[in-house]
Amino acid sequence: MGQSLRPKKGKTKTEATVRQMISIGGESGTSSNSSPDCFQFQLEEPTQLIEKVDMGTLVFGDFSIERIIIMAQIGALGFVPQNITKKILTIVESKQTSIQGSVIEKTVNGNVVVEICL
Amino acid sequence: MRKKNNNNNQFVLPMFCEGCYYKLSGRCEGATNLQIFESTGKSFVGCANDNKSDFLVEVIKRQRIPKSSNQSQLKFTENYIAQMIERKRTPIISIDNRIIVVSLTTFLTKDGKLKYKNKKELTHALGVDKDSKIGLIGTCDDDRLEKFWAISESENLWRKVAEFGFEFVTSLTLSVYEIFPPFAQKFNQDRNFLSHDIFSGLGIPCIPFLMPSDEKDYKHISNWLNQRSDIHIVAVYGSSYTRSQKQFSQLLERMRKINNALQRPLKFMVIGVAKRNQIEMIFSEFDAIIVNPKASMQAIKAGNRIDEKLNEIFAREFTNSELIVPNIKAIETFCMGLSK
Repeated sequence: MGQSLRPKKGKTKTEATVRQMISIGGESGTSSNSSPDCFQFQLEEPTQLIEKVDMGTLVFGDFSIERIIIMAQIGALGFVPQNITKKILTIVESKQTSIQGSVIEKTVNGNVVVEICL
Repeated sequence: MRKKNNNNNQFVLPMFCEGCYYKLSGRCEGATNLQIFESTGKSFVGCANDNKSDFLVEVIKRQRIPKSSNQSQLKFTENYIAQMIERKRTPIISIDNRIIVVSLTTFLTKDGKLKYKNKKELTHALGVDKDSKIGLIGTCDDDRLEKFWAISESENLWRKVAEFGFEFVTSLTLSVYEIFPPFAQKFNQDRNFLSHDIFSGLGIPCIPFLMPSDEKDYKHISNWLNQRSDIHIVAVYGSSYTRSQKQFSQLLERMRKINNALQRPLKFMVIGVAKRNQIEMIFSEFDAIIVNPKASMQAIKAGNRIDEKLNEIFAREFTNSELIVPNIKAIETFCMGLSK
């Protein structure tokens, strides 16, 4: 924590970026420095649709079930990591807000990194 | 590809749907019986509907968990609420301090717009005092509801409904038929739930309609209600289940399952049940409020008086308007006698 995890514009995606993000938070997802209510994370159980999304693709979170599903216009991409789900839901309830964000990185391991802000 | 299920005549249809929201949410595995498969066609067998994915995303984008459903404002003492229909003739009747309801069928035009400008116009059309306490129930044909949904944002209809000062509203009742493609069932459930949250967010006491279509829906309902812990009254649509005992048993079974899925007591607002034995069965098991148009319909359309056993008796000595309140009182008394 204590460091922005948003990749700089034009930066090449690297596995290191992902590893850094994971290790900084000690979790598979973490709060962003830009706002206390922004979160960046790799998706859990990503679907094959992540191959069809690009950086900048808008995403939305569905919290009608116990886990949060990240959706893009083309369909469901995967889940928010379980270790930050409860934290996000608490903010969603207190702020009565929706979950929106974008894909900020495609990783070399075939996943994507998403940032959502509440 | 179909795999025969040995236990019954159902077919498991494992049409894989990558990135399908309802599959990922665990709420749908595609069509599970031959009837849906044959009646909807292969293109709709999965949990997805590409033609409506944009609409689905719009619903998800609008998800909010309201601070409250405002149900703490509801202090129902009645076990029966009369549904009123438009009544062209005077005199204006006084319904005293009781609540009556009007349905969206009455409240909306065929274009899905609001038929009345304000509460004064509504009470005038119903032929009741302008200060009458009125609730709004979301029962209506799908065609009108779809039109309402389509223009609800652009024409600010949610807020306009809120400005009527209803005592309460229910969620919408977009149909959830078992023969619908899986996507349509879940999508309509979600829109009905979203309508609850929109009304709640506007500060109106709101009662959600629960319309499960399969076993997975009970878990979803339970989760949805647990996210909204102040809800203690839920609505169920009984009208489709009253024609036979078998159908009515299905309604009771659904209510039991809803009750069992929750860890807190629920009061059921049961819409459209009017037969004496069926009302008795509901009260024998559930904390309930019966809502139907029997009192007003029998008075206005048939000139009938309803007695204490819910028999309908032609009453030529009274005008139709004069029969409305006595009919309401008769059903109120009957239901009160059955409630726990």
